[in-house]
Amino acid sequence: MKQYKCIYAILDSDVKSSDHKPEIMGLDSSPVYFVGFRDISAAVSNVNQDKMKVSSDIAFSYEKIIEDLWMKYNLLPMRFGSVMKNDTNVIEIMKKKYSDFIDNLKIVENKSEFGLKILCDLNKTDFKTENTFNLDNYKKLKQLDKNSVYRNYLIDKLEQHKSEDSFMKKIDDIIEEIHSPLKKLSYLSNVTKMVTPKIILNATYLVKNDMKDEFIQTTQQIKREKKELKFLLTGPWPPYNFVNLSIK
Amino acid sequence: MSDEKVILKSESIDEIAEELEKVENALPNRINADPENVEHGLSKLVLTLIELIRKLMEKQAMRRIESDSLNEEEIERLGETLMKLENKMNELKEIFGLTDEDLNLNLGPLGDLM
Repeated sequence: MKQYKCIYAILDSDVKSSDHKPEIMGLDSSPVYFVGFRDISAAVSNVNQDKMKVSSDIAFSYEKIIEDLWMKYNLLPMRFGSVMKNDTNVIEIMKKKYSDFIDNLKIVENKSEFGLKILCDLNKTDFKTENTFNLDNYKKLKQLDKNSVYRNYLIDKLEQHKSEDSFMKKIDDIIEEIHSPLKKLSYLSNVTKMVTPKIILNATYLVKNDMKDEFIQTTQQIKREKKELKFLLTGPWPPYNFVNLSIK
Repeated sequence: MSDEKVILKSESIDEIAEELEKVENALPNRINADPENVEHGLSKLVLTLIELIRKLMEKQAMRRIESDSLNEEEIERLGETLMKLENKMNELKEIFGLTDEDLNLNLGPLGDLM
């Protein structure tokens, strides 16, 4: 049966497979081994297919392999499903992207990723709109022909838009109050607002290892102050969201 | 995700999982192009784009009203146009069995389409 190479991570050391005991088991029950180029290595294992099946079990196994490696080495996790034909291809990639790998490895060295999701049950309709209106124009609009269906439609729309603006302003303020202190404690951060109408913040933070405790404590403090919000803080993770390079 | 990775949580995390599932379902990687579903997939894509344009028109109209750059007649015409557009969209959604949530798009910093 033809075999392919699944790449889990790029490590900042020239690891010899023989030095790495006990072995870490990769997908398809094949042990992870290391392919080196200069002072970096790729952690790979044999897999049976070039297109990996996607399931939560396989994704968890994949994450666990990267996690086990991360306990020992500074690394760049590879995207799930990174599969190559053979070791020569793996070395070619390391050769081609060597300086990008080195730059990224320096960024993530001695750092961990944390994920923060914030849920909020605020309703758009709870927001008063008057303060944000251009009142003169609003009044003028109301004074026009009161029997006009179209004018009333526009007034409703205007109120709806202003309500949404107020809602977004409130959400932005909440996000700023949460994100600002955490950003100060992190080396890098990624923030997505309003992932769904309820998840108002989905953020990842790259935190220096000696700042981890302070980061967690600060998040706990914010959670205590923001009783109306629901928090989910996870980590420490390998730096999944802070690798800035693409391989084609 | 294993529990040992959860440092801090409010009540159950199931609610977050449910919310994230919605995102996954709302953003299919590609149009479902099997013969039975191709019409539904395509209509969803086309109506989403039309809805995006309609919402942008509506935003622009609100800006013009607020800046007081329309006279009474223009306000009437604008109201009529936007109302008819919205009604037509509702009809189309019904014909193709689509809901507002089906046509939602996350526009990043601009927020959700719907």
